[in-house]
Amino acid sequence: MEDSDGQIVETHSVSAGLDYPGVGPEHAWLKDSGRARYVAVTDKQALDAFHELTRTEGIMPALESSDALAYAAQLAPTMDKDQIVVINLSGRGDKDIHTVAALEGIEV
Amino acid sequence: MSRIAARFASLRDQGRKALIPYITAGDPQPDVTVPLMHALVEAGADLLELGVPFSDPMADGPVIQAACERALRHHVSLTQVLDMVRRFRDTDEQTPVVLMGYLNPIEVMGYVKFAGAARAAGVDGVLTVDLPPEEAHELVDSLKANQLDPIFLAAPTSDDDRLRRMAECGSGFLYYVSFKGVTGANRLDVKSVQQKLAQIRANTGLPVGVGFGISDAESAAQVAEFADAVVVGSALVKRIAALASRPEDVAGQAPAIIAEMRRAMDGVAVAALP
Repeated sequence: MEDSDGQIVETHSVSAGLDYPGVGPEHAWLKDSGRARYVAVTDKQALDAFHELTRTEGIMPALESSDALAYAAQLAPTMDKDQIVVINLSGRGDKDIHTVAALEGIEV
Repeated sequence: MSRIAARFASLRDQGRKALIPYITAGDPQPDVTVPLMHALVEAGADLLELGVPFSDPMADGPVIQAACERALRHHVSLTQVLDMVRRFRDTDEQTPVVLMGYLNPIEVMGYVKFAGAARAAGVDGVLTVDLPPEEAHELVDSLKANQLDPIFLAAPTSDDDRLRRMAECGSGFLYYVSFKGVTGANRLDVKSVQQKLAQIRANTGLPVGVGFGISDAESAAQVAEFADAVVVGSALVKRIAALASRPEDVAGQAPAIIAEMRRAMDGVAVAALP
């Protein structure tokens, strides 16, 4: 992410692992070759997904993975019942409890 | 012969070494830069290295990072930096100017357009810190088509193969980074630099400049014993930072450190000066 002079611009995401302005060459190639599509969700949607998986499955996802869960929840209703969704739960959310607690005013 | 090659040749004839101050263009504000460039020449600079401010200067320590931030507060762009060089050239046709910076602003402008604009502005050399020689062919071709010298950075870790590669695609001079670290760190080891320079000279006939860590007249004079050029960045930029709240004094006061280094490098006893 850059401005018209080529200066790198500041980013924001509640997910630390997504809060950077670059894209790796593999992702750039997958996008350009049409083999992958890239979407975004809001911080709130990711946090909601974080809580949802924690409550329903007892699995606390990393906030980065929560972004994927949030989009899966939007995508699934548009699909056929027998289509399969695979989510890569790329990390565990223990590392993010202080971030979530601070946002929700919880003392840990 | 490029302006850089001509300058090194004439210094060699005089038995003198080049002094190359670095400043970040637009630091602390844009109107300071051109008068400061002239004042640095007046103080004894042989070439000027003009930094193109960049948001993510990964080879630079805190002093030059802060200089980039001061310049970027004024949104100093690559186009404006070229314009500063053009204005400098109104009254100085002789002093070579090397742009030092990072690839992204050049990439965004486009290599061909940049090289043409840099040539037209009066730039002589281009040093892109984050462009390794292995990836540099496209930019180097554009630079050479416009008679601009591509300048590469050699490091303590550069082996013979890499030094030869830099010698093949670079021209003007080779810039030796004196230690493994960022600009402005206080880790200069003169003896190890001297040893490495022998290895560099076995691989290239280009003049060799040494930078990173030259902080005072004494270290400048020591390095000038065996290097062709001494590059001074953070030590000068620190002076500029101290004057940031009085920009009208920068051109008058900051170059004093360059004058001190010049006297030490030329072997003039400071005490003997009036």
